[in-house]
Amino acid sequence: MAWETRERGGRYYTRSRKVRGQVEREYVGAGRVAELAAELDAIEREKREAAREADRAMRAEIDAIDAPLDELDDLTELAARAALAAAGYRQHNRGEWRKQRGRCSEAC
Amino acid sequence: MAIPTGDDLRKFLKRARDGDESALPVVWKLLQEPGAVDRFGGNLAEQAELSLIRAVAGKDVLVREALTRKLELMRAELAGPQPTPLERLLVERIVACWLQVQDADVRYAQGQKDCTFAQGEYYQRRQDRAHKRYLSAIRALALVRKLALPILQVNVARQQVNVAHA
Repeated sequence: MAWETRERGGRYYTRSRKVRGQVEREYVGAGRVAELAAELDAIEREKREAAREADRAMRAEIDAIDAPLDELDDLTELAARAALAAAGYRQHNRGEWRKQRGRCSEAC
Repeated sequence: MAIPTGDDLRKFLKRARDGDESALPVVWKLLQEPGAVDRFGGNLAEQAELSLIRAVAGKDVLVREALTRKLELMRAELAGPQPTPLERLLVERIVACWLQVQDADVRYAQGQKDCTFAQGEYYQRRQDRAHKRYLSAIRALALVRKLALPILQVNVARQQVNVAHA
């Protein structure tokens, strides 16, 4: 959103937005009507920014709640896989776990 | 050899997972010692549960106590009478994942009323992830029980009895 100053004098309010990847400029007008339109646009912008901020805060809160579980999940998965490897198993093509011949540790 | 801790432990587990033979005896020893497993997984499980209980129950003491009791029951039921240290760790993960599923379900349902499209999508993705992770945690425990624990099968008077090798 911008105010343009014309060569003949006076200010002109315009709105820019992207339509199908191209920037399109809408000429709103001048004078009191343009001032009102600019104020309404500013209110809309503030609302959108507040919504974005609330969204960011919500995600940060949930990420903080999940963080210890993410770590537990990661470490437990690693421990389980390490235990299976220690027991002489290998995962076949990211699927079934198979016992490997001759690679048996104390676990067997 | 001393049992590694923190990041060293993580590196060690990765080496064992990737088939490094030299890491296997230490990993096996680590997984046999209840204290060692508690040291790297126990506190983490407690933190994860506390964080999720606080999120689900908020300031409601009754819900908090009910959830804590429910988790104890689940833990006892899943672990059975004589769980190995690794099984206890996997059970802790299942219990924490179950709690996350509850939280994700509640937030998604509440979000249906008054949230933006992007927020709704975020809640739904979290719900999907939580369900997937919960199922994966259950599968891991089942797999460890099936493969890592030698079972002696005895047939007594046509009845099959499975005896776990301690």
